[in-house]
Amino acid sequence: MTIDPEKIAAYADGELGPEEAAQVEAAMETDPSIVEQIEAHRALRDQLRAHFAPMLDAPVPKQLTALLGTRDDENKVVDLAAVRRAREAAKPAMAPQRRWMTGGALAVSLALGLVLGTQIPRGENGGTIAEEDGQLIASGALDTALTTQLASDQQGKDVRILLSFEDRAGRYCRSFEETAAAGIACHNGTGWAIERLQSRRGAGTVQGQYRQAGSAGRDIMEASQNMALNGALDDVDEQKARDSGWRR
Amino acid sequence: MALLPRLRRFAAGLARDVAAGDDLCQMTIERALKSRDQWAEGTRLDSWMYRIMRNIWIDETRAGSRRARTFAHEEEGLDVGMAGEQEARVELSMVDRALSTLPDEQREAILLVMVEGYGYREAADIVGCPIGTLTSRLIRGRDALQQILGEAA
Repeated sequence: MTIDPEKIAAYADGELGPEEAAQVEAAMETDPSIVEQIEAHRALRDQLRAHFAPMLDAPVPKQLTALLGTRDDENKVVDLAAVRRAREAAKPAMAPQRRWMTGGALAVSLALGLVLGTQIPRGENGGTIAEEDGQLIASGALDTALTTQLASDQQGKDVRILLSFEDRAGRYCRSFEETAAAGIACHNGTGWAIERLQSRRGAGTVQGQYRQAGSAGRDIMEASQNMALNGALDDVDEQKARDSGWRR
Repeated sequence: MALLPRLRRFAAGLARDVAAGDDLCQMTIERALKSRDQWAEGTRLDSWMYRIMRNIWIDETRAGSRRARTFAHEEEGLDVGMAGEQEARVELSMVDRALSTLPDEQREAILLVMVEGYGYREAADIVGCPIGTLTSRLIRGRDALQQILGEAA
């Protein structure tokens, strides 16, 4: 059987269904040139990704983040970045590059919230979120839940874990829902950095009850899927990750 | 978060240059903010923004107005291919050169699938063409790249 180049490329890109993939694999056994083509395809992909990789880690220019950080009046997004910038301006200059990147990252996460039309809830949450060096981190009940709670066992808990996954930077991340907010937190080695936070509109009027499939939860699930390297961890991997203290 | 760096990456690939890519990125974000109520909740935000970026890129190229525009650039813009060693630098700029020889439609197919990691269906949706068209562009672009880079190696 001949396998056309489209099919070989599709196989290398993981685009074939199980039957067609099996056909290609069978052909690989007898035709080494197919194996070569697949390897060449993957090598090219790796080369291209490596080529562009520095851009993912590079600080985002201020001209871009500035576009996103200044519209809080209109959209009721709490512009923590501006507050933090003002405060940091008063501090002695230290590792400016690093600080700047953190500001960029925060501005972007705020901006994403803005595009999604949401609001960062502050102070209505009984102290489950704190700020540390310009980074939002989980504290109190949220920190405990993120650190200890398994997605398979959360009957009657105040915080619900939606998904646990590994992001592209190799960190463990978990999306969560609580009474007032839903979000994504990633373990940074010492604690849970809040990467995304969204208020649960209309929720929280009845203490401890969840509005099922709220829009915040959906957005957060979506965002989790986009951040995840390989989809969600299963129960076994999640438990392993927890037992290792969420460190890689 | 991941989206803005990824947008910059795609923009740099489309525009063949980081500074021009950042201008493109800027226009994309402005347009996305203006028309954010058109984003359908439950669809992928990244695909939506890529589509906007691509449309702007096509408009800009067609109008031929990019050259006439003046933008204020960040002073220390990152050069794609800024990697310590001389050898690596040569090889990386080979990739830039090879990519820039591709027709726009092949380059964007390569960028979406091989760099951004989109599935064929999603990539075809972003580009707005049938899947078959996308895969044939992908394959032609890939063959051309392999030839150029293979000769250099």
